[in-house]
Amino acid sequence: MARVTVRLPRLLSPVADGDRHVIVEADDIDGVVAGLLDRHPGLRAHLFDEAGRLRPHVLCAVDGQPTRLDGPIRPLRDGSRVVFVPSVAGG
Amino acid sequence: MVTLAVGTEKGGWLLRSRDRDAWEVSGPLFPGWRVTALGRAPGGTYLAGVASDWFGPAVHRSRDLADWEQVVHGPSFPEGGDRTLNEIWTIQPAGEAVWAGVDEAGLFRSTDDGASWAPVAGFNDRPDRDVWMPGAGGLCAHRVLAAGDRLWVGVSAVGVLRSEDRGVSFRRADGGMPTTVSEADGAPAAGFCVHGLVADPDDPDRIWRQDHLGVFRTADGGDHWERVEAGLPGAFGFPVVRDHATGRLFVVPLHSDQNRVPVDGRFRVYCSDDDGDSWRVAGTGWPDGPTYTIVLRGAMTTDGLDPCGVYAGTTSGAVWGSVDGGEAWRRLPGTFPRILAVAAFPDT
Repeated sequence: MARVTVRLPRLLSPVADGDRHVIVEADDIDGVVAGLLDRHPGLRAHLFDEAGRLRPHVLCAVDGQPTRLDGPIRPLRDGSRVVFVPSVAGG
Repeated sequence: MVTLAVGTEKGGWLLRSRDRDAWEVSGPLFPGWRVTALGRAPGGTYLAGVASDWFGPAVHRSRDLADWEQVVHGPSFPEGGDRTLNEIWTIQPAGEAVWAGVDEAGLFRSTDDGASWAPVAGFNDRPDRDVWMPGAGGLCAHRVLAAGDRLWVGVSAVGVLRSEDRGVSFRRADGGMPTTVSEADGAPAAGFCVHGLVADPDDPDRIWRQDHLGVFRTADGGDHWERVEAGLPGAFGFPVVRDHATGRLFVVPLHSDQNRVPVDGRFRVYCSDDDGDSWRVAGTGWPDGPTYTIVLRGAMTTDGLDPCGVYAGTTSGAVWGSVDGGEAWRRLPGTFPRILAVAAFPDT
């Protein structure tokens, strides 16, 4: 399994025991998400809606490639980085 | 000792006082989060509803108002459905339960001091939901009154629904109310835009209502409402609260729905000592200069002490208070972000 770093937005760090970086070992992105939510179940309501979709104003990137977590994603490797960030708008 | 919990667009604050004269401010709680509802469960646990435009809502619990823990099994619509829970609008203890009203209009119940929540199917699955429509603040169940097995739930812009069986079933309680939509043949199923509700705990059928279309009261639990606005400079507004020891009512009248500010910038709480038959400015201490700020529906409360404390948080971030039943008013310390919710916890 790959050892992956998940980076969380600052606003969600209290839900993850104050951490902004969570190390998860998984074979694929589904495993990363499962591992993240298993460790910090309170994150589920903040990252995903009732339909199980990534919230509309939350962005996810895997090794710099944006994804809605609903399509093919390049294989993970040791050191891969999964980032959740809030979308930015305004001026 | 009294603690005022103040929920705002960006975090929450606590105002504590031993004598209700000198107040100490602490916070912020939940920095960066909207704090949309505050309450206390029957077992004494404090509860806070928070929300983010990006990350949705959650309920947090605390035993001491200092250390908070997010509830994992909070209010939530069924997974896989098309209904989303956007915000916790009210947290209301009643008997051994605590109720949460939410946007998109839903009702949830906890019997373990807020540790877990169950949907109230009799409300959430009503067949007439397809004609419910949101108000300017969303489609929200924002007020809950409870007395024994009976419940009243205020929903914008739908109306008041009453249950006689602890939420198993509900029926409309908008008898005689005007509606904000054109009335088709028969009774409309929605469009009654209730903003605030308060009941007499000694006679729960006596309810006062700050509505989009004015101030009303009922003596029969909502089967018949009558307009009670004599003395108010404007009939629009959001909150209505009551000092249950004296029966004095409080509202914050605004110009109109199209112009939601105090008339001529004269920010005042109004009160009634005759169950709404007549209204007057509540006491003294109000600003002399133009003050175009308002009080939202969840941002006014009483502390239940003797004499009663009455507190109103404004959209400009001020907390106004009276600790003599509504006669002498002053600003309490602090200027906060837009205030959404104010709760008073006596003896804390």
